[in-house]
Amino acid sequence: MTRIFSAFAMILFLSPLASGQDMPLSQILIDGEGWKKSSGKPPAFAFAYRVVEMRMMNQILERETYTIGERTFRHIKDQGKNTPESSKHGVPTAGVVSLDGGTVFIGHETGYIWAYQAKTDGTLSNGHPYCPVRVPRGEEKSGPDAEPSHVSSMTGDKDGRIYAATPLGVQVFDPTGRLCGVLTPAAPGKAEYLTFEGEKLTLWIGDTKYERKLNTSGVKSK
Amino acid sequence: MRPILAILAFAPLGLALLHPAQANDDYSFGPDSIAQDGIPKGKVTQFKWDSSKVFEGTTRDCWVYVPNQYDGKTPACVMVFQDGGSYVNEKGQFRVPVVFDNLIHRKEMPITVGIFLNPGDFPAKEKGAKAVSNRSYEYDTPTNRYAIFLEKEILPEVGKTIQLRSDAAGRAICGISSGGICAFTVAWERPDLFSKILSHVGSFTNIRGGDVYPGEIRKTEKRPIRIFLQDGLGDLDNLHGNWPLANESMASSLKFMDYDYRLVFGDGGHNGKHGGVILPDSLRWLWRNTPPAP
Repeated sequence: MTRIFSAFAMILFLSPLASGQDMPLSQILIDGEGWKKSSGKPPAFAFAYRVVEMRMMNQILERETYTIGERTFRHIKDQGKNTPESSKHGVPTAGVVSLDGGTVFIGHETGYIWAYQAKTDGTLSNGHPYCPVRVPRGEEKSGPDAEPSHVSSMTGDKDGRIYAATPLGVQVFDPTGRLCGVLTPAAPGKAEYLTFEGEKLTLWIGDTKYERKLNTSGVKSK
Repeated sequence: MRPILAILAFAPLGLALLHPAQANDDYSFGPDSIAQDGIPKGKVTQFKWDSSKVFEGTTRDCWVYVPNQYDGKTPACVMVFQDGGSYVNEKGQFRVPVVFDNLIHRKEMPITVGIFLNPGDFPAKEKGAKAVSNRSYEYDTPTNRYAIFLEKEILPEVGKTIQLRSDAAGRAICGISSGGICAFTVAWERPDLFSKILSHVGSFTNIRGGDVYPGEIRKTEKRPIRIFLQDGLGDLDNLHGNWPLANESMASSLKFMDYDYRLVFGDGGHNGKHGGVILPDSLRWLWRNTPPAP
């Protein structure tokens, strides 16, 4: 019951648009605007993850730490429950915080993008699979959570959408975790440093920066 | 419209889709599907492909049609056909070489080389045993594997002796049934290789997960492809799905995403009779406004 309530609260806690409103790609795409090469320097690294063992009351616990931009979040493995993502889905690779700061979305090498409730002190709890990442067909699967999603970078827009860079292209999810659509890849290769610069969604593939103008803009960083 | 009138208006279509009619299939070829005097004829040659690395162990018959108008220097457009033996047969349901001769002569389609590929077989290992068909695996699986087969093996092989266009705008792909969904898969996965799709009674059903496309089309940024779908109200309804509904679903998704597409329904069953008779019109639509090679 607590889990169900928590998940429900999480959805309500998100952007005001989390009422199930449809958000097709056509809302953000602009006719004639595609990916273009650009110039500049890659932004400072926006995501870090580490696991620390801690001893508490004669128990050894694992504490996961996620650094997303300027904020740091912690998740304590609860004995037998809320198994750290690294043991289920591969190493966490990217993250983004919701508009209101109350939800943290974590992407991995495999499986869903997960969502955690975040307290103001940075403690994460009630993690759930949230955004079903589309994976290349033909890849080996050993279960739904093991599908290789290869999320390499994430960002968000002012309307609460979640953007995840993957081998298939940038995948866009609405605030409730539903896939809105997959953008055409900017170029072959692994996309990194996905972010917004005003109304331009930007990413880096190797040493090349790409940008495309969308009908939305990023969240102003705090 | 009053509800009762709406029900009466759409009931026949609904009944037809739920209970396939007895197919009439009484289609007749038009003049564009018949060899005409004075029209230059292209040349068809055959080869066998038995050294595939993508579909290792398979062997398949292949044919190449080169139009009379090909000058040996200017890269020609390309059109690949799955189940090639059926399409290249000048007395079969499609008669592609005859149609190409007529349309190319009248400049109603560009100078196009046809590549006709049968699906691969694993040859019988012992005397008296049968070969094992790889058709469903090659055609029905919605991955990029068949596109890689064309890109890395067949196109380079044909390209050794014939100048072929390398841009997607100059390439089309066609197939019937599983060959139809295969054509879509190739262009969907690799719109940089092929931009034009012609599907006859395409199997957009769950033979091997191909029913994923209607949903995927709606949630994927539009790709630079053009699609002609042909099906019949008497087409299949079985454990894999309902073919007419599947093609309707494809068309609905293509319309939602504002693709350049057409869906033409006949009353036929799971065969090429209707598709063959409308092939000339299909090709005119598919190849219209093809830009010159870059």
